[in-house]
Amino acid sequence: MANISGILYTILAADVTVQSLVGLDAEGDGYKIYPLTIPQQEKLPAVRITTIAVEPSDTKTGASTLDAIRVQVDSYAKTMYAAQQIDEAVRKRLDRYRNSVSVSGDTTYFVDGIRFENRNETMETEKDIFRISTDYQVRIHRTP
Amino acid sequence: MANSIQLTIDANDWQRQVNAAVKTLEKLTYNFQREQQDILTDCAEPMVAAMQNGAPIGAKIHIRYPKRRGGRAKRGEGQRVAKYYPGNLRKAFRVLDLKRTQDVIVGAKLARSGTKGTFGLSRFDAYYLHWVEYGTVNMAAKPFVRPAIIQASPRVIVRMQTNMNRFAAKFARQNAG
Repeated sequence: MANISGILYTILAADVTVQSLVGLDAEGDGYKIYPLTIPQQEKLPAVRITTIAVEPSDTKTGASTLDAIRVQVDSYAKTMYAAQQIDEAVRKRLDRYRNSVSVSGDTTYFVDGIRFENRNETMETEKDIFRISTDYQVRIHRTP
Repeated sequence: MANSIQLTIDANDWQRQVNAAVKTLEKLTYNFQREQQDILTDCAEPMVAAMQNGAPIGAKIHIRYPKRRGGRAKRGEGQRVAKYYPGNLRKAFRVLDLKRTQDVIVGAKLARSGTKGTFGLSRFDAYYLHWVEYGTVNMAAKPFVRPAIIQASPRVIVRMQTNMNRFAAKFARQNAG
């Protein structure tokens, strides 16, 4: 199974704009880009990656060698402007990306392409937090 | 072909024949508009089923309290507004009965704003669907609506083709000769 959050983290953490907008986590050893949940002690802004669905492309003779994975990338911030800036930086980095990605502590994956799909903006009124959720389709070769 | 209508135009009597052909096509449009919603509702069934199957089911009964006005009540002392039984979200999915549109929309039923009572047995209110689907800052998302759309779309398309063929065959039968 492709380490989709690891792949996206590697791509995003290599971008200077994303680095400066999101910043380092409390421990200072990584950027505030998390899979599934943002740790409660972390301050915003932050980015969260969630896998929504996996569409395999099976062949007549075997299992899928190319998966299309739909991913939701949430940009959280205290202001809408900051959330928009992060979302735009993430999109600039991800949209139409195509390259090999070496995930730290894992293997090298070939990302066949990333495509922007959809975006929606919400506010979490309980905490006065703004969020922009963007969906991407990530096509990954299962046999690097 | 069973679901086709042959239109032939004879040079001697072309005006009458063109009028008849136009009338037939108008009738086709009229009949389709009348049956459109039934056809689409039937096509949407695999989508509804996929969403219902994917919806997570809670393990306990949930209580909704009124909106906070100046502080939170102590544990166990809050005023109970509504009770949600497990399965409320799953059973809330259906083809929505929306009067103002000809379109068929699949989604979760919502109770009117501020409605009180018990939900999940015979009444349903999935006001929290977007939190489940997209997650919150404190809670991971459990997406199931978007996967259901991806999963059920091919079946919806097949059903649409079958239903449209059936409609065309029926129309051809009624207007043969």
